[in-house]
Amino acid sequence: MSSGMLTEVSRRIGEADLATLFSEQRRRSIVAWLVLVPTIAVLLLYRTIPLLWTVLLSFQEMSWTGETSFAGLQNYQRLLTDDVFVTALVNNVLFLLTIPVGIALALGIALLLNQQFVGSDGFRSLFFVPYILMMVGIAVIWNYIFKTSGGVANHVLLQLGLIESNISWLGDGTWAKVSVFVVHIWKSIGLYLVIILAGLQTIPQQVYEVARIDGANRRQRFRYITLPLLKPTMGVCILVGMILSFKLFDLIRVLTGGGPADATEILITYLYRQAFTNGNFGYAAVLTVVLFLLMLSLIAVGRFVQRESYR
Amino acid sequence: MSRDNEVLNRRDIGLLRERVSFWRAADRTELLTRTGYFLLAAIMGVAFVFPLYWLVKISVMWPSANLYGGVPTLGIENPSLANFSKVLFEVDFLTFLFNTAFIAVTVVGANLILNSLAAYGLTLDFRGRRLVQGFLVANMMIPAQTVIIPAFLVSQRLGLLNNRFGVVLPLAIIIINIFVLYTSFDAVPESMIESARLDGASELYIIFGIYWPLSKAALAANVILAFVFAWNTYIWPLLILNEQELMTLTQALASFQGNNQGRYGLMYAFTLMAVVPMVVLFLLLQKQFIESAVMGSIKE
Repeated sequence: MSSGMLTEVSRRIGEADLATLFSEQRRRSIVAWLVLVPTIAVLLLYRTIPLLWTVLLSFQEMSWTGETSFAGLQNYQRLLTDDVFVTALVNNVLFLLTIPVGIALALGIALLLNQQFVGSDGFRSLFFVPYILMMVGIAVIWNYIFKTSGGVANHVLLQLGLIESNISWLGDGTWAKVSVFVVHIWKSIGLYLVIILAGLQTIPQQVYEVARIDGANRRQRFRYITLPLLKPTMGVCILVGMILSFKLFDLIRVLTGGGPADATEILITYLYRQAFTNGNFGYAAVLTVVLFLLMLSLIAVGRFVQRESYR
Repeated sequence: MSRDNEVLNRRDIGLLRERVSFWRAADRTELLTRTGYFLLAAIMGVAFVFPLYWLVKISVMWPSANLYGGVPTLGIENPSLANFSKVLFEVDFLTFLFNTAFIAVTVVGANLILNSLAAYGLTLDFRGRRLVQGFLVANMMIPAQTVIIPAFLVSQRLGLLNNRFGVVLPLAIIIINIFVLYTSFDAVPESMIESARLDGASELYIIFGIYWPLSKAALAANVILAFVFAWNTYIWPLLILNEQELMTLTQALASFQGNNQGRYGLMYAFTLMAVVPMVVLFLLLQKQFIESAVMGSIKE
């Protein structure tokens, strides 16, 4: 075998390797794209394209029949003179307060359940139940509880001597906001609770032991160990709270219908009404753009908080 | 010697006594605090669960509770199933139940298969992988609810209005589920997959024959999240379906509530029947439900 032949053979082997390597890589790429196509298609159809379409629609007028005409900035100008829009925007931000309040309550319950007494797991499940119920059902339940006369909420509060006379829960703007607040927290507490409990489980017990030997009292242990180590968990809770706030559509639509007199309207319920009740698709698209920007900035803030919490 | 013994014994007994009483005292405080915790939790739990107790109470009351007849008493007397039979025979409950179950089961199946395919795609090393990942994360930032108007228009153009699949399709991919699965697939040793490939295993076998049996927790999370989403969804059926025979439970419940304000017992029985399947499922699979909720919430 001459050296020329040897080089020839080795060259061929190399080529063959390269060829199989290439075909293998290509095959893998083809497979990867194939398995990802359905996912990409669904997301394009129901997330990406709708988002771009919303932007387009916000510069258009659209009739019920689907005919569109260019409207320029008219829809955007309408925002400036729309009082309900301002109410909805303010409410959107206001209802975000359910997040810190819900987390604080859940943290209290979590610290209690973390003491591992008989049945603490059962209690955890109990608090979790409202989270798995349909929001529409929850709204129906509380709708009757909040009735002014014959509602059990007023009855109980009267019996306990906490109120003098019946509160008009769903008939008064402020009380209606309170009602939405209460119900939303009631639903979300369970989720915060299980996340915080999972976070508490990750704190090593030795840290507490050492602190106890060093003479740290209960409050100090909470202040200097539990809270700092729970920071990432809190970040997750805040993010989850943002996602949960989308559930407000179902709740408000069924419990208050956005009323009384638009007092509990939020952007999502208001834009739904503008589009599907009044047929103002262009203006509803503008409201969607505003909502989207609001959500995006909130999620950015949430992510930032979460990232900072890891430092 | 005997005296010595006596002394020793006495001292020992003293020490023992001290120790025993010490432990007893500790046990006592321990028991007391634990009981205290339990009571505190119980009080909170009772207050928390009261609306659900009330739901059951009003549902089983007969003659039906009348909203304008004052507040019923706290206890349950002579429970009856009359309200439930009214819901079954007056309200067409079974149709709504079937529609909801159909959508939920289809959504779960679609999620299992499509998310697994996508997660498998992410485990492969190919050009454009980063792009796809970026696309998924970017879409996760678009909350489904903020694009309902054009999503409705998309369904309209696809001819999916008043079609159950029009509700299934937007829910067929839950992006967080893809990442939960991908994390689980990624934990499987590469060598295992490579050797299966050398043995001539097909792509589908690798997904469903190798990855799946090793990703039970992630799959459970997928099923549970998809099922809960689909069973409880209200906005999608509201957009897509308006014929009564296609309505889901959430839709029917919301629209009946508007028309039957005074019929307290009926509305409560209807609500109870609509939520019972989910509650039963939860009671059977508490651990998995809670794990899925935690898993789905923590996205790295």
